[in-house]
Amino acid sequence: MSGLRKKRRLAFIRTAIWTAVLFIALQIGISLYVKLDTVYHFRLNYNMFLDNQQSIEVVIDEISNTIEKENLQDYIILVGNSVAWGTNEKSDHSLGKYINELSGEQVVFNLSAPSMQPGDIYTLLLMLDRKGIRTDNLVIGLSYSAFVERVNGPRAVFWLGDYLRELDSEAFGKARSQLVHNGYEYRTGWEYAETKYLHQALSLLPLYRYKDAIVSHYEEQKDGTDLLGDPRPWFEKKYTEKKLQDPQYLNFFNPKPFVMSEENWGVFFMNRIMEHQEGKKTLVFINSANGELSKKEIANPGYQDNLRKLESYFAETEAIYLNLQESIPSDMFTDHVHLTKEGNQKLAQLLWQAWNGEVN
Amino acid sequence: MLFNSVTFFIFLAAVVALYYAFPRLRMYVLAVANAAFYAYAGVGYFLLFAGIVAIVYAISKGLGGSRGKLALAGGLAVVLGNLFFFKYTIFLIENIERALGIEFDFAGTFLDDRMILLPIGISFYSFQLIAYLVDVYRKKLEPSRSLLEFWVFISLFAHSAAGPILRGNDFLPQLRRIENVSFIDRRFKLGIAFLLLGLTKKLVIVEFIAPYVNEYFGRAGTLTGGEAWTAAYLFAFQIYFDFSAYSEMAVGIGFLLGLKLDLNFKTPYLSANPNEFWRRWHITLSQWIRDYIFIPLGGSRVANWRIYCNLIAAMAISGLWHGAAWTFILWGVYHGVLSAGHRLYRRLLKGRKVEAWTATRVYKIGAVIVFFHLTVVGWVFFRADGMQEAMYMLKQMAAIHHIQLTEETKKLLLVVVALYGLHLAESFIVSRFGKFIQAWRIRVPFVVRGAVYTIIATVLLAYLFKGESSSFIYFQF
Repeated sequence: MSGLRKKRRLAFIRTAIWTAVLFIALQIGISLYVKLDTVYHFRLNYNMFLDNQQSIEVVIDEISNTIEKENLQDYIILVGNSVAWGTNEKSDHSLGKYINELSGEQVVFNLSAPSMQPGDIYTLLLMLDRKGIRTDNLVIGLSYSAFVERVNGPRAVFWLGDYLRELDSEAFGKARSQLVHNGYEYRTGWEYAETKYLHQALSLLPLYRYKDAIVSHYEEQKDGTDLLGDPRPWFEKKYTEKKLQDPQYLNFFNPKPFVMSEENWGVFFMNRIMEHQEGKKTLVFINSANGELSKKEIANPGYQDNLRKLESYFAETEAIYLNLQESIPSDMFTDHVHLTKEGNQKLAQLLWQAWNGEVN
Repeated sequence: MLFNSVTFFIFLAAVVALYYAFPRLRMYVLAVANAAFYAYAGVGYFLLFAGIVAIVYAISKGLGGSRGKLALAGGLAVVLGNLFFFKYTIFLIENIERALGIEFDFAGTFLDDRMILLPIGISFYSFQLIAYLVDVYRKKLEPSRSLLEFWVFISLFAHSAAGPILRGNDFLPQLRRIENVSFIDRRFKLGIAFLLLGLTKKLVIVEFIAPYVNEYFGRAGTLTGGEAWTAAYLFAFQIYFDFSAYSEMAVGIGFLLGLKLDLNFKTPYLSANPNEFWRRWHITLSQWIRDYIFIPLGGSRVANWRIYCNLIAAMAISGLWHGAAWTFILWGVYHGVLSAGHRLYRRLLKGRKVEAWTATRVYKIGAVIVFFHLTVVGWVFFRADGMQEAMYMLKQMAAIHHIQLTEETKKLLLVVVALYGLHLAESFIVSRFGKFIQAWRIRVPFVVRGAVYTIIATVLLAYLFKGESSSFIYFQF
């Protein structure tokens, strides 16, 4: 090798090593930058989760790190849908914030997200198990609609189907056709293996793992708020008759008698959740609906019968059951089910009292 | 497998590693890699592709014999039959129905849903096979020595999906020396540079433009004149950056493997006339059309009116090659008319005083601006979903005195200006590439170079990890 070529090759190697060093340093920097508050502030960053459901792994990881770092022993996990997450309010006015205020030193981690179904909650519990996060203290928030017959959706596992497939193949196998029928992309063969293993391998690279977290955090900082929806109380908004006749709205209160067997996906996954929670403290609450706006739907005898069926179902489990219907004044609602800041405060109080056995 | 996907880069790294680890097995490494690359898109289409290649190889053995003409006809029938079946069956049926005012009933047949999925790269490999058959028949090319060699030549993963269209005389000799290819770091770096250039064009520029183009062309029938011009300009840059990105990545892959693949683009929007444009745009296709259509039709050795007709016919075929739709044919005819018109214009100027003026810089700049706009007009046919939409857009674009710009179109037109600036910058950098590289290596400390490489790698990876990658436009042809 000529002297010039040797010199060039050495320069090439030196630059390549330096580039590799900088790249690794950058990866370490990214890892150090992302903390729990990057992806979570009394609730997970929903825009991040919406863009990429795999980003929930980062939230769970960071919760696990916090538990370990702060040596937390007696924490509570809260899992539910948009009411527990706090749609129409910002995180500082959400259930997660207020329940943490009431619980004092007992930290409550809120892993709720809009549209979460019992199937997602069950899957989430399995994901927490995998990460070593205990669910000895668990609060589950559901809506009446979680038990309504799913003719055309929503999926029984709305967000976390891929994880259920991985963590409980039997349950997934039973739910698969319902999920596929409602838009779940069931990958097989090479396509499945590629998606799964590529994600696992790339997750070792912080740039990949935290890409959504950093982008969403930046966007949230730029927007200056994490508000999703309109926080005004419902009576300040226009609710036309047409809106109240919307099939999606009506299905939310569907009075058709609940089938309380495993044919009902709500029951199917609740059974698994209850099995999982055997011997652990669990509170299940059914969100209140707006007693004024949805008076007609709530007064329906079918609706009331179904609520009684749910009460009977949960009475046979170890869980503390809380039906919040008529417990929250209608002026604390932003729509038919979501709550204002005051509504979230009230909900937190009710839950905390029930958790401590003050109300049952 | 998309070049702009993580899977592809893992695949490429594995191929390159095996390629240099086992020099004697390189042909086998490439043969398997090509098969895997194609089968990734669909095993059925891979089997079809492999079958066509094997049949053409077998037929080509008879090209030099006493029944050479028959073998050529047989080979062309197989290749064109395959292409016509997949690409033009539905188009043909629909046009017969329209002409006769009838509707065929295909219920219960494979044409039930009136759709035949197009195998990836079918147009490209068909043209490559035709060139091979014709060249061997004309004794301009020594036939391939083995099916393995022929398979690697036709199916090389770097170009099988969307070109460049390789010629046997350029590529087969390279394959015959493949065991002797040594690792040269300068060539390897050049390969990486081409890959990164293509990836940047695709991930950063095309992904930025594409949503606007899709949105505007999605409502082509309601666009204002300003919006129609904006959409056409943006598409002009989308298709250029998209296709040149793919082609440059193909060239880059070639360099990584020590193989030379032809460049398909040379900053085409700096062309002053149609001739120049086709020497800068999709170069390997233009050369193919010239050698296998225009010249056999008589080329430039016939009467002028025949030359004009040949130009239009050749370009119409080029249009039809792109897609089975009248809009593509019209796009081809339009470019044929531009080529014929320019030829006539040059003829009229010849010997006149004004001819000298055409060599001035001012004329050249004016011609580039005019021809760029003529190209942009042509892209409307290429991109519009149907003839009606294309005609509507052109009508809106023609009413220049009515054109009004919204805040969005003003911003997007600034983007267009910036993209043209990038195009100019590309031309400037490419023409002085050697000097830039030398200055970069000698004058810039390795600490800074490393930092720049890290930033580039991070940005491109971030884009690559962003989510679903969009396909390259030319994959659909």
